[in-house]
Amino acid sequence: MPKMNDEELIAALLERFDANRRAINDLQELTEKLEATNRRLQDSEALKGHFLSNIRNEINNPLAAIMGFAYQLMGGDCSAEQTANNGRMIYDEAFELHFQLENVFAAAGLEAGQETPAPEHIDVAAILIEVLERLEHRCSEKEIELRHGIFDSVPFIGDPRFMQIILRNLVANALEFSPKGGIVTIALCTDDSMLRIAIRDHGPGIDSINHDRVFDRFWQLDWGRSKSHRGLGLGLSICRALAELSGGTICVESTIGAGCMFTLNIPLPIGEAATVAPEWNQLSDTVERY
Amino acid sequence: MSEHFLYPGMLFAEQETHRVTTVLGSCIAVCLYDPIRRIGGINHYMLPLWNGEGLPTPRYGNVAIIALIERLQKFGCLTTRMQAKLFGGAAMWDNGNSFVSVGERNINQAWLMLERYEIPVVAQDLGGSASRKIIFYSETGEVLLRRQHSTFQSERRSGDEIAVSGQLVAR
Repeated sequence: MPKMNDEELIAALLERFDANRRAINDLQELTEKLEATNRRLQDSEALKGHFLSNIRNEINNPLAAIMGFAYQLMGGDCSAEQTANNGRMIYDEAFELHFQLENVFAAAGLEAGQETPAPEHIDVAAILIEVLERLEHRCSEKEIELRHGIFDSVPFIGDPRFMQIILRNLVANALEFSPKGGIVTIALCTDDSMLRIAIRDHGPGIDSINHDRVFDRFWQLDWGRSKSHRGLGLGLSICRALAELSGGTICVESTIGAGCMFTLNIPLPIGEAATVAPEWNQLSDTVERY
Repeated sequence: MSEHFLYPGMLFAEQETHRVTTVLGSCIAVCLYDPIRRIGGINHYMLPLWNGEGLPTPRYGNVAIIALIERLQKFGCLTTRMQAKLFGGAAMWDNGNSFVSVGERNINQAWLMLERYEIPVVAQDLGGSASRKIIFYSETGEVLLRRQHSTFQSERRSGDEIAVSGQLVAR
């Protein structure tokens, strides 16, 4: 060690104490983050337990209802009105069952890494209109006014399946949580580099402490014994995973009692990154072999 | 030979021969190859561990590596025969704090898990500050690599930044 005078020695020691203090601080922060992650994972396991017990009802209840209505029809002595009514109830229940199962398969596919984005030229407006048409029966059932103002095509480059899954979940949520006679607004715009879709409802809203949690797997606003909304808590986690696979984001703005606005931002796929490399000249000295 | 572009957060393993391209910044690609079956696969993950948020997808190393091994096992590959090649984990920007960078954490996660499965790493090109474009040949396990010095052009920036900011910045 080089010889130091007293002042230099004190300065060196102070620097060392400082470095130690910073290291201890970092360690404390890291430990706090680990504990928070651990709590999050424990919550996730608890939610998974709820999901597994929910799924039985979410499948059995609609099937029991479908069988009941179909059984009545089998008798062959229903009035025209009864027949139409039974038909409508069977459609409603089967639709919901199909919707939830599609979500289960989408989540499983995403977790297994089997959902590969396949971007192509799409018309986002056409996809949205189709989603709205398929959910029309829920709209009219609750007398919800759907405002979208979309009349022209909205060309973009993206995966049409991903877009369809995201939109049907966001719209279904908005309709589910809207009060009867409420208004749901959908805005859609693109510019040279980005697609933005915003869906607004006037339902109960989400507390800001839960703005992140709503995107967690199986998480539902009322996931206790007093569950009052149907569903398995997968929709938003699927939307986020699909948005991220497309290089985009999805977020929520909401306050309790003032409804929600979910905004989806998807960038145009970067041309260069998505291309398969042509055969490289392996003798080139910029190409390394492993 | 069929071609495939591997996006961040995805994995790829098929029985038919493929040439798979992917671009890596701070992300890691683990290439696994069984020389007896002559089948290989590759993943591309952005963060080391699933933290309980959203879905546990192969965007997270712990999910991606297990998923890749399991998919290859379905084709008759054995972990006792598998060999690994690791790429990526660059430090893409100066994160200005004293935490270990996400690139390094991704690298450590790969080493940890491959050690656990006792799969030897026979080749690697890790760290640094340049992004990499690699081509993986699934029938031979060979990898070609080209370094790219324009760090942001080839990787989807928004995905990486969100991934990093979500993990390193205290909420």
